[in-house]
Amino acid sequence: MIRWLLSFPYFLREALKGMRESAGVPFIAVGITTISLIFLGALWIVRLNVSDLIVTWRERFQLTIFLAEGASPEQREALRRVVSGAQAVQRVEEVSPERAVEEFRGWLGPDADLLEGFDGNFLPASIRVILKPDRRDLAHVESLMAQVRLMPGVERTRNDLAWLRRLEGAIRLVDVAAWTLSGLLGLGVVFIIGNTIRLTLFARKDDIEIMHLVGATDIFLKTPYVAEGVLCGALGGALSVLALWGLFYGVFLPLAGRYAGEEFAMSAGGWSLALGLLGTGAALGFLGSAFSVRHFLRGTR
Amino acid sequence: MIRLTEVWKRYEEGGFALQEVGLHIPRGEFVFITGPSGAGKTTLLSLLYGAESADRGQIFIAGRNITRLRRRDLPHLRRGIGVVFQDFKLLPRRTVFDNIAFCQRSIGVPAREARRRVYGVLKLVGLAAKRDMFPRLLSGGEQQRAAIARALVNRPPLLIADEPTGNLDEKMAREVMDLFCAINRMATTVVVATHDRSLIEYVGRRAVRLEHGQIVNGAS
Repeated sequence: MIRWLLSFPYFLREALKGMRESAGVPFIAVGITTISLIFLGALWIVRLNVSDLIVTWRERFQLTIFLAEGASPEQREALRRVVSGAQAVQRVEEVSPERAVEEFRGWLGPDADLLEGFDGNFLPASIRVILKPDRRDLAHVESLMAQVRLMPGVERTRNDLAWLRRLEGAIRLVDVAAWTLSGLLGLGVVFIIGNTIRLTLFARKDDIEIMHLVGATDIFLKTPYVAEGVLCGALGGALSVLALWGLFYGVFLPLAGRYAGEEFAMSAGGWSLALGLLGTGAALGFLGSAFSVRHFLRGTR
Repeated sequence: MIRLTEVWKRYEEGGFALQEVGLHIPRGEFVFITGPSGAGKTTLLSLLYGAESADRGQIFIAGRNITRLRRRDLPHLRRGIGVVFQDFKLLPRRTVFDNIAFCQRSIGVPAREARRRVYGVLKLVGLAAKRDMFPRLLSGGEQQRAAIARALVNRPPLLIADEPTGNLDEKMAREVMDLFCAINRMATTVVVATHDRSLIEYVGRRAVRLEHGQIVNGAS
């Protein structure tokens, strides 16, 4: 084991030599690995950002109870008491018609003059209910809404749950697609690297014969070729990270900023995605080459 | 050093390569295995370094029964046996030095120690000056000496050579035999398969004659 560890620089040199001497075949494998990992990385960037978006929206999630025009102060107070007392509720805010119009004006921004000519109280009074972070699920929301809807003084209720659920459904779909495609692309990379290493093994059949003859153990026979597969995969991973970041920061973000405004924020996955792609490439390279070497050596003993 | 008792080996296609072979070669001896083509010389040598396994019988190398050897122990057996072939089996993309150093690194010898051993063995076979040349630039005799250096670099107690002079002219063949004799004088057991009677006479050592897979002369 110690001999094996101490021989690592030699294995790496042999692996690099193998890549150079195989007339560019490993670089085709690196290219295909890069392209596959770009797709895979892009998929995970989409998944990550949709997931972040859901978390953000969930944090902002609130229920709105619109009050009937003639709701009496007692009805409001009763409503406020019931809602505040519910376990799922963190905070309750009462919004007067004037404040609602003010907020609406704020949202409209430069287009606020559209409201000129409207009566200052044209929006209904409402109660905003902010739920505790761990209670923002369908069961809690629906039970509270069912209770509130029956109370006097309530005109209607609104919550953003329906589209949040649709979005969560969408991310589950993205998850399934991401895992399925990752699996397929991974298999493809394993196959390509495995075949590349097989070509290297055929090209260096004489070396292997001699290694057998002089008493090289299996691990010493296999390691240079497995190292070559890992290098191909890791190189593909590194190039895919560079390409993804180049496309993301150089093309996608400027375009998105131009069309969606300066507040548009998306993440390129950071170092975790980079290390993930590098590690995935290396692991796929390891699998492909280990499989090929094992298969090849079985026939040469 | 080597003891075979009632060893049988059948060809995959049918027929016997070796039949009831019994042979004893003491440590430090120089022995020729001779006989016509197809007599079983190469098969016998292959059994000794574990490239093939006997169908029946026992083979002892340095007191160890190699017919019961586990596959994972085979590399350790081979490190104690140097093997030389008629076609040299040198790697054309590597220099003479690298051909030998590569074998050392393949068994985990550290770079510095490997370099030291390779220089030493190249000096022994008289190829130190040509260490950076590629095999194709060497004569047949020099290529065989490089192959012998590779076989000797682990300082094995047993050297096996299968028709080592088959591709060489008479002068070069005698040079190679002189080298084997020198190696034998360093207490290495040497087993050479050849059908060249003049070489056997030149060296003047024990010859074991095989015919149709059976030893007909010189078994002990």
